[in-house]
Amino acid sequence: MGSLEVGLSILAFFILIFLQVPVAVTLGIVLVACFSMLGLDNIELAIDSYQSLDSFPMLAIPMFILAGTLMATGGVAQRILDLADEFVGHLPGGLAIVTIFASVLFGGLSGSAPATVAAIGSITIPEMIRQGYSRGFAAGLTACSGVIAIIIPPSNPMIIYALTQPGTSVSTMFLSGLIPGLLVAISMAIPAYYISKKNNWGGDRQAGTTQARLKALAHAKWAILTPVIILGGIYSGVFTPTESAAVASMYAFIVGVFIHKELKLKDTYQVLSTSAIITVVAMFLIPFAVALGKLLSSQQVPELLTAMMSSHMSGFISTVLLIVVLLLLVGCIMDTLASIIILTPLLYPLLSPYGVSPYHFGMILIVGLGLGFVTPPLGGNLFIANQISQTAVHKVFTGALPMLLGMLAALLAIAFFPLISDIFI
Amino acid sequence: MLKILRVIEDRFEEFLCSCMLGYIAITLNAEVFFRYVLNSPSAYTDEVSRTLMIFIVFIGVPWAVKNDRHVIIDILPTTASWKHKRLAITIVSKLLFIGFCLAFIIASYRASLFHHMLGSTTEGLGIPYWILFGMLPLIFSLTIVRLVQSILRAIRENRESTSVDVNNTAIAKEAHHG
Repeated sequence: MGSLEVGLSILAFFILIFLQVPVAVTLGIVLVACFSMLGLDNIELAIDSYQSLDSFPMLAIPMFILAGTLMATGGVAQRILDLADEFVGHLPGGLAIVTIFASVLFGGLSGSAPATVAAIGSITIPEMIRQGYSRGFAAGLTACSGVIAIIIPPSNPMIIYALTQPGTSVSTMFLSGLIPGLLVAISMAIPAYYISKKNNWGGDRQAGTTQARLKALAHAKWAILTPVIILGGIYSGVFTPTESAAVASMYAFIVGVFIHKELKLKDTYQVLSTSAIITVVAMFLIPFAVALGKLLSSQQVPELLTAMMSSHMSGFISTVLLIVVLLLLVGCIMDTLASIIILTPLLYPLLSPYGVSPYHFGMILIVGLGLGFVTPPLGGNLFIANQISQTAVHKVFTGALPMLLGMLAALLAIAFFPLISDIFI
Repeated sequence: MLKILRVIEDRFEEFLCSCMLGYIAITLNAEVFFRYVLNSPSAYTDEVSRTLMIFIVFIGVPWAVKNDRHVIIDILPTTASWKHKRLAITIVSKLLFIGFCLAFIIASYRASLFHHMLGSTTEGLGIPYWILFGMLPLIFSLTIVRLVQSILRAIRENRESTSVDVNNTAIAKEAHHG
C-alpha cells in the first residue's frame, strides 16, 4: 500500500464522513475501495467481518450494555445518586461533584460512556438547572463524567483493547483502570468545585449526619454490591469477564423486579430492545475496523509508520505528546472501539521500545480516545447531554471545557507516570 | 391480516434481536449454574451465544437504518436555506450505503459458496458455514429495502415541511395585509 493509496483512502474517509455516511459504512466503503485498488479478493472482507465478531470475550459487551440498561430502569441510578449526595452534596458544587462520583459508581456497573450520561444525566442535569447551575455547565459536566465509565472497570473499550493487543487479558486490563478512573474523576471534580464556588452554586445546606449516610448506604446496598459481584467474580476465578457481565445483568433484573420493584416484568422486552439497538450501533463498527486493521498490518503500514516516526522523533516525551495529540484528533472523528482496533497495532510499537507495558499503553489509548466522547463533531456524550438539557451543543461543549482540561491533565499524568496504570499488575 | 403484516414489517428486526439478546443472557447464566452448581458444563453455550451475537449485530443493521440510529457526524448547517441541500446529501449518503450493501452482498455470497465448496462447519454444533454466510446477503438485501424506505420517507417529510412553510408564509402575509 503506497502513500498514494493511503492518501486517497484518508481523503475518501473525510468526504464520506462529510456526506453523513455512517462511520461504520464509511470504513466499509474505504475497505472495498482499498481491496479493489490493491487487487485483493473481497471475499476476505466478508470472512474477516464475520470472524471478527466470533469471539466469546466480546460477548461481554452486549451483556454489560444489558446490565447497564436494567440498572438504569430498575432504580439503581437514583439510589447511587442519593448515596453520593449524602456524602458530598453539601459542598460548593455539591451536585456537580455528586454527578462525577455517581458516574464512578455507575461506571462500575455499566462500562459504557453514553449509557452513563443518559442514566445519571437524566436525573442530575434537570436538578442542577433547578438549583441555579448554568445549563451549559450542568450538561457539559455530565457529558465529561460519562467518560469515567470507560476507564473504571468494567469497560467495553478495555474488552476490545485486550482482544486487539496480544498478551493482554481483560481481567488485568480492568485492574489497570481503577486508579486512572479515580484520578480522572478527581481531575474533573477540582475545576467543578472552583467554578461552582465562584458562581455560588450549591453549598447551601448542612453536611449529612452519620445516620443519614448509613441510611443512604443501606438504601443503595444492592447497587454497590454489583461491582463486588462483577470484579470479585472475575478475580476469584469464579466467572470469566463475559459470564460476570451476564450474571450482572441477571442480578440487575432480579434487583429491579423483586427488590426495588421499579422494573415491571412487562418492561423486560423494552429493556432488551433498547440494549439490542445500543449493542448494534456500538458493534457494527467492529467488523470493518478489524478488517481495516488487518489490511493495514498485511500491507506493513505499522512498520512503515514506526520507521517514519522514529526517524523524525527521538525521546519518550515527544513520542507520548505526539500520540496524545493524535488520539485527541482521532477521538473527534472516529468511534472509540473502531479507533482502538485500528490504532493499537499502529501506535504501540512506537512506545514499546521505551518499556511502556501494554496495559499502560491501553490506558493512554482509552483515556485519550475517551476525551473524544466530549469533543465535537462526533462526541456522543455531548449530544445526549444536549438532548437532556435542551441546550445548544456549543454551549454544552463550552461548559465542558474546564473539566476537559482537567481530564487532559489526568491523561498526561497517566501517560508519564506508568505506575498509575501498572500498580496492580 | 394487513395489521399483522404491518406489525411484522415494523418490528421484525427488533423482535429477533431482542429475543436473541435475552436468550444469550439466559443461557450464559444457565451455563454458570450448570458448571458451578451441577458440575455439568454445556458444550454448546459458547458457540450458540457467539453465533447469536454475530446475527444481532448484522440483523440490527437494517433495524438501525429504519430508526436512523447509525452513528453519523452531522456538521451541516440546519438553516432553512440548507433544507434541500441536506435532503440531497441524505439521499447521496443512503445511495452510497446501498452501494456498500451491494458490494457486501456479493462478497458474502462468494464467501458462502467458498464454504460450501470446503464443506466447513462450526466446531460444536456442526452448522455448515455456508448457511451462516448465506444469511448475510439476505440481511443486507433487507438493509437495502430499509434504505429505500428511508429515502422515500426523507423526501416525503421534506415535501410536507416545505408545504407547511409555504402555508405559514401565506398566513403571515395575509395577517400582515389584513
